[in-house]
Amino acid sequence: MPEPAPAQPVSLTGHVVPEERLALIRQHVAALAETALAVSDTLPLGADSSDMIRVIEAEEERT
Amino acid sequence: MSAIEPATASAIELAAAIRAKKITSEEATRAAIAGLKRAHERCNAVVSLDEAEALADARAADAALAKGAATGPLHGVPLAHKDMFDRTGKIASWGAKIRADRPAGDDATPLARLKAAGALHIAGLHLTEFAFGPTGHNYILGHARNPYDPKHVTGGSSAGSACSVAMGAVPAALGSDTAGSLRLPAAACNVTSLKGTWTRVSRAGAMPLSPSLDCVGPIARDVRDVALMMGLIAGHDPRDAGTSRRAVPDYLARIEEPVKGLAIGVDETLVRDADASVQARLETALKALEKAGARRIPVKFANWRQIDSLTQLLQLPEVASAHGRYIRTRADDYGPQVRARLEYGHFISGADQLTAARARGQVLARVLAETFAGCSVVALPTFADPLPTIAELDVGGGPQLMAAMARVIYYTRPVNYLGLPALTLPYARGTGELPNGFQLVGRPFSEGLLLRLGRAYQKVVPPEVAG
Repeated sequence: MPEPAPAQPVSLTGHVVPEERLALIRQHVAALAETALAVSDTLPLGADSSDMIRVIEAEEERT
Repeated sequence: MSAIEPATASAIELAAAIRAKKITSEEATRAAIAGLKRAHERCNAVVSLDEAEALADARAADAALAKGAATGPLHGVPLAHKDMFDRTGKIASWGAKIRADRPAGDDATPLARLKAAGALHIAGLHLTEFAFGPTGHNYILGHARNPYDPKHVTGGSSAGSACSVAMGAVPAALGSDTAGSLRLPAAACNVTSLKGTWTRVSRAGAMPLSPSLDCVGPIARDVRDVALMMGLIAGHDPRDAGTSRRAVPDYLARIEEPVKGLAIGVDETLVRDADASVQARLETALKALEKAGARRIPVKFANWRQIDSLTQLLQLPEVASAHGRYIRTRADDYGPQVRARLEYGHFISGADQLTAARARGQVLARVLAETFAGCSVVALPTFADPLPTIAELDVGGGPQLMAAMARVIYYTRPVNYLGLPALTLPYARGTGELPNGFQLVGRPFSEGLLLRLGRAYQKVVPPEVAG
């Protein structure tokens, strides 16, 4: 499950996000979280961020 | 009177003329300085220009040539770059109020490699604040204005690079691309650019925005200059451990090889998301490529919008993290648009960001196996719409921000997630028609193929200089 949006923007200590922007941010991030959830269901346990490099480097030279 | 006109010459032609002593580096640099002043007046293109230093460097290049010590392919050629690269002893502006704490100890690797090839660096050029914006708006430096019509955007974030090249001030310039920042300004300003395969070009000494996506690359009018520049700056760099160790081909040596029979994929469904006029211009461009010998085949990107969301999940937290210290302590020093966009990344969970990072290899493998099954290149618009005006996209940090930006980078941002190389070429222009452009997106490390296609295209649609 995606994490619930935090009640306070704790990672922005010292910078207060205005309420009108906070609502937009939460809406946008919630939509992104749905994508993350859907994609995570397709990933094998061993999927790793370094897979990207392996796929790129596996490319044969083409002309 | 010089035997060559620097404002219309390519970097390759200018270097040859300097070597042949048809023009001195000092003369070429004086012309570039005058051109940059014109580009600044019209487009707000220049951030920093030290005339005395530029001319001293040019005279040193002429002296080296006189002694027979000039061997680099860009010897004495004046270039200027997006003001985000480290230069020894200097502090780059990053297009922002917030800057590095101390002068750089070394040149950024791409600059050092161009310098080793003999090129001069004579000015720092406009960029969107922290290179975080695709339109050329900058609420700190002032907005960049399009060289073909100052009411319209330049594209961003490498705005000054594209403007200066378009106006003939310099033949080529470096920029960077995290979500379209080389391709959009090239398209908007009627020039060409190449975002290489992710890891192809070192980012050492370049201002980081989102390291999982950032690419440094060249902008030029003539695709042969793009090939030369990419060949010079690409390749493994111990200062950027992530750079590929794969050998760098001689892109320029092979650029005239024929493209006859080469398949170019077109996803008609995806292209239909563009404005009708953009679709028509892409169609004309494809016909030009067919005239050059290429053939088109239908292809399909399975999940373009999902890839775009994954890109944001990866990018936004990286940008937020890089700026965490400053957003907490100096939030008022940001322009409204960048400040608002920076906030998003703090609300994305670590797990969701990691999902996007872990999925990347799988998503790319699928795209290569399916979309690129029958072709090595796919054509896409660069902008989805005709060039907007500066006023239309002057959304600051307001409620339209994310939707407006998403539309501008609709066709470019997912390419960064996929890590694929992409060459932007300008569409042919009718009289009075504003510039725009399209992308040729290739398989990993297919830069040479893209450049060959670009060269074939420019034989049908030659490069222009903005009047």
